[in-house]
Amino acid sequence: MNTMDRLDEWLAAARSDVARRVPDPLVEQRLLARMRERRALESVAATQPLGVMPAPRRFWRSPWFGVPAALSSGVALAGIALLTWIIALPKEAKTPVLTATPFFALASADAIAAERSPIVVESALPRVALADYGLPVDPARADEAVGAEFLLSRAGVVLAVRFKE
Amino acid sequence: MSNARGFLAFDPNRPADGRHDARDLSARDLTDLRRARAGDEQAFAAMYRRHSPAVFRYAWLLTGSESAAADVVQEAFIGLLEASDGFDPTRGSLAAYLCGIARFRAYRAVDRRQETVEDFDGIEREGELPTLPLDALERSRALERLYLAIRRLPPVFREVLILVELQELTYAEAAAIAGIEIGTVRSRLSRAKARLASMLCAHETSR
Repeated sequence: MNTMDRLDEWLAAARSDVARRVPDPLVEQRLLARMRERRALESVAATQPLGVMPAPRRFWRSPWFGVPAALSSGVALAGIALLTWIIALPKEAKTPVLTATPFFALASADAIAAERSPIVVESALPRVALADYGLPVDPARADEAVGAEFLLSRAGVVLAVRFKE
Repeated sequence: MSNARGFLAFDPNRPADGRHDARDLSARDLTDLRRARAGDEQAFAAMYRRHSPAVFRYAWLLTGSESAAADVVQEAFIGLLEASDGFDPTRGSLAAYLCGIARFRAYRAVDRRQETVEDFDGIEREGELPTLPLDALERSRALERLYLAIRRLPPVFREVLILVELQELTYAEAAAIAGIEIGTVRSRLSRAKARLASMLCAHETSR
């Protein structure tokens, strides 16, 4: 038996060895969870149009751009006053602040940048979905839902998601 | 070795007589894919279980990492499910398409790890390759050396060797996945095996 014949023998053994290797069952579970997530999102987008909030327009596209400077200044001053008042409030009087993750991109950066007027859809997902985004999941609360905000294009394509407590 | 079985070798639903109509499989893939994209989890699971082992093995052979291979499988199926990778059934089978996606993503994963691939152009064969040890542990070590040598082959040789010799694809299927002519598959495979033999002989001689 020469070297090339022996190599065929080695490769045949490797074929048998490789054939025993299969992906972790968790991969299938993650993919099925993602399917459910998408389906939930699609049903929310289809049935709850009232939950849709337009994302803030860019100021240079706003129809209000160009109003008198005095009005802008007035609004700015009111804002500063409000901010000062909030800062001056005792700590215990403050409204609890919602904690939210950053947005996770679900589409390419080009697709997100190309969307001029995205919409935000509020929804809820199983808490285990957090693990798909590398976020910690408390096993004790794994059965609970977690708030989610999906950023959609006007055509209904999911661009990004973030989670809120 | 026979390469006539092609991707059907990975089908768990394959009849015991080994024969299977590729058109039936393709039609089943298309039906399952359409249903999975509409949200049918059973259809997705059937399609996933049919094709994921082959995709995983291919990615594992390319990357050398089970976790990287699992990521590749996940990304390939997400792309398929969400129609973001543009599967066109008129251009080839789903199995070939998935392996093509896995190939692209596996190379990207390898690039990310900045793995250095040595060039073995200068290595000449020294001595003879020994027969595989019968002892399980020694045999397992020998296979590890073989996998390492395969991963150190230049990528163009490595992929045809994996596709044809280890994934048991036909030359035509390997050519479709690698995007090369069938004749090129043949010549690269021949050179890949010669280099692999040289690398293994050099290693065994130095032990």
